[in-house]
Amino acid sequence: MNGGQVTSLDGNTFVVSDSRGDFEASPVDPTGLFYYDTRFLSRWVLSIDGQRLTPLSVDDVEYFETRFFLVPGTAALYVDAQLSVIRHRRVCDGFREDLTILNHDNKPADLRVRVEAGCDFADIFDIKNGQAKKGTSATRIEDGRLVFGYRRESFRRETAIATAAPAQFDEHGVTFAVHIDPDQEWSIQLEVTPRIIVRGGYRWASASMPQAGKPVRDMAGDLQAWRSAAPRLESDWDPLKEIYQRSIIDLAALRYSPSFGQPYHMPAAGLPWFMTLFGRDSILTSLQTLPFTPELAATTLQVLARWQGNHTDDFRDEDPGRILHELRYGETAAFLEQPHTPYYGTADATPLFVVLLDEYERWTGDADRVRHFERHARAALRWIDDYADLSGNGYISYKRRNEQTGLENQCWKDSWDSISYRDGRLPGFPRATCELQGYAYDAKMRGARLAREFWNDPEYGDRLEREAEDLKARFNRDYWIEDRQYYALALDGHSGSQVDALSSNIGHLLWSGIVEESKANAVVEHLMSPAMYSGWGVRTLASSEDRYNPVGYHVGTVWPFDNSFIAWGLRRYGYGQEAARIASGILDAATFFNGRLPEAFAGYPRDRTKYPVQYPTACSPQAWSTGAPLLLLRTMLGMEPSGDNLAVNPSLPGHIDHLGVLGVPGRWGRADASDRVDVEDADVTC
Amino acid sequence: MASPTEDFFDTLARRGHATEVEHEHGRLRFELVDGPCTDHWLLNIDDGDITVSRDVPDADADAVFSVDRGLFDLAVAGQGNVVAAYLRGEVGVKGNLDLIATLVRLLPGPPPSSVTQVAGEGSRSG
Repeated sequence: MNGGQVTSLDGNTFVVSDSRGDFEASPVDPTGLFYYDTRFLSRWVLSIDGQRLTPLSVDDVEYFETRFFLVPGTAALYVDAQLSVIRHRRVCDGFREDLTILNHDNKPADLRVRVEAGCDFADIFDIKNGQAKKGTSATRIEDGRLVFGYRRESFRRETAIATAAPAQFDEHGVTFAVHIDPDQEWSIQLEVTPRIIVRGGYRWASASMPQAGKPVRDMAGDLQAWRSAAPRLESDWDPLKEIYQRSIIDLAALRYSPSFGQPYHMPAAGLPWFMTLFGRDSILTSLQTLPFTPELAATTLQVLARWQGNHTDDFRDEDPGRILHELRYGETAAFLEQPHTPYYGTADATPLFVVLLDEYERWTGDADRVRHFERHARAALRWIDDYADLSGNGYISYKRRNEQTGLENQCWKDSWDSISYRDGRLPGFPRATCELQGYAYDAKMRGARLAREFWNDPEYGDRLEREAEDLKARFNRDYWIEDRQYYALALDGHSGSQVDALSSNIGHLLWSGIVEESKANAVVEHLMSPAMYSGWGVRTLASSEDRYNPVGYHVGTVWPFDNSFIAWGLRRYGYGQEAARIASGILDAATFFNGRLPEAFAGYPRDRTKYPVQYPTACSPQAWSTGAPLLLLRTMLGMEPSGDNLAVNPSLPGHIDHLGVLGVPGRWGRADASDRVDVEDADVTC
Repeated sequence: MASPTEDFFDTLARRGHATEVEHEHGRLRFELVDGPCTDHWLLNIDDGDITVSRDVPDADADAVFSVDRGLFDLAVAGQGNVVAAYLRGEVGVKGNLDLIATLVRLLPGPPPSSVTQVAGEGSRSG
């Protein structure tokens, strides 16, 4: 629950309602039933004898399932309710609702039960941007179903509402005349099914007509299998168990099939705005979760390789070899009002694809997949040199070619004001943010290993390594701000000067390994300084900078995912205590959100608010926030593949005396990682 | 004079192998509708090796794409996005919808005159 809202979801199908189970969405409010980026139901209101209901409690049974316990009337009137209502909602290709009314009276009850329904077929981008619909709607009643339809030229979407027993439908809902004897109950099942209608009558996903009462996918069994396959956590710090379970379950909730009903899954980015395929988010989440749920990485590599760019297309900011940024399914994508079919405007996903491929092999030993994706990895590495060096200075930079609807900032901080000088000025384009160079370095170093060990091309490996070393030397010269002792946020492609703001991006440089050893200490001191470290985590932008705003999306908030990669970087350079401090702050913050970290929280100093203030429109659950605790478990235990073994080198926060992750899947089969040295199968190096 | 669609399939048949679909396997059948007439083409992809057959309306396929001939003529000229057309309901796909990504890779991009030259493009090669 968030702000009184209740969400049930399954990948990119989700329902957001109030605590009664009702929704009455306004055009700019992301409540209702969403499916593949379109709102398929915007109004759903239950009444009994014309009265709305009042919630007694809400039970989030599972992520896809909610029970609402209600009584008729408003709060002031229900004192001795003779009726109670249970509304049991399950999301699965739409949703199904079991409505049960219990008569507690010693007299029979005759009731008029009504569910008001309506649909605006808003594209998620219509809601974000407050756009009006361009097509026409029509409602019909056919074969005992209420069907809402929307059409714009050949674009057709429908929502069908069916009931398990005969009901009285009208164009605005369904009514039941109900008689319940004393101490008896009545129930009905309603099913809401979205339909995407394509040429030739071929229908997408929900191929059959909805029919309430038919069996649904065994989602409970699927979740149980998912949880059983995940490693087991043990710790003397109890909140960590809740955080861990929350993460594993939310990862299950966020899984979706990017190819419309295919039986494989990868993480969608975040509820409600980003329940779709994002290259960057999928890759970073896969990296975070590799020691726990490696199948997400396998699917991510497969899907992103499948959609790897091979054209030059300005509208989509596509180049050969480029990994996609975002794939959308709604009306704005269909009519090219947005470039998301797919959109390629990201400068980091392509090198990160190579990073993930290598890291995936290191954990899983899945050499076949590495050979299978050789062509894709080579194309990605080629993109770095041939297409991403827009300034001709040997660095990845970005400048959108789609000036209307493309993204200005094509790094993870993609809001308009995220990249600035210390004095607040915005740099020109192309922009070469620092972390992109770190990713490029890492991609080349890892590509070199893959070329030597799997692609039988040591010469290519040598060349990549030489290029990486050259990049590292140049980077440490060109980005290092000598008098401030940190790396510039970016190089300004217009003026050529260093964009000198102090930002969390320098933490990613530690992760990638591009930082010279002699400079690491200064970088770490900045990251842990009061200007950057809030007590909960490292701020996106230091509080000393002009554009700093503790509630600015990318200019002062603390992002759990960002911090998890910074912690990884700190471990890489031997700063175990600092990594543990980051882990401690972020995990403490999670305890304020029932174990579920939001996308971002405010950058206020911890000792000022005592509470991590959630960013106003933050997504939750969000994939890479869900993955953050998992990566922090890895960094706290110092888990690393070492040959065919799992090496462990713990560095725990002060309040955690014991931590173990048992049954870590990998090339070793299953192994235990723990701070206790007597664990079998683990190659303990503490 | 051959239509753009015929040119497209003829070129694929002559190439015989397309690196952009290496490691991929699948039979893609196309029903190209032009008023009362429907043209049938079959693309068989086997790890980059391509064979093309025509007039095989009943051939087994992993995915059957049903589309107006005029739209397909535009798509094979790089003027039209198949994914967007699918979302608009202009392309029917029966079978494995994943293969739409394979089709997209075989289609040309937008004509060069409509795209900006990318700095450094082609200056090095991997």
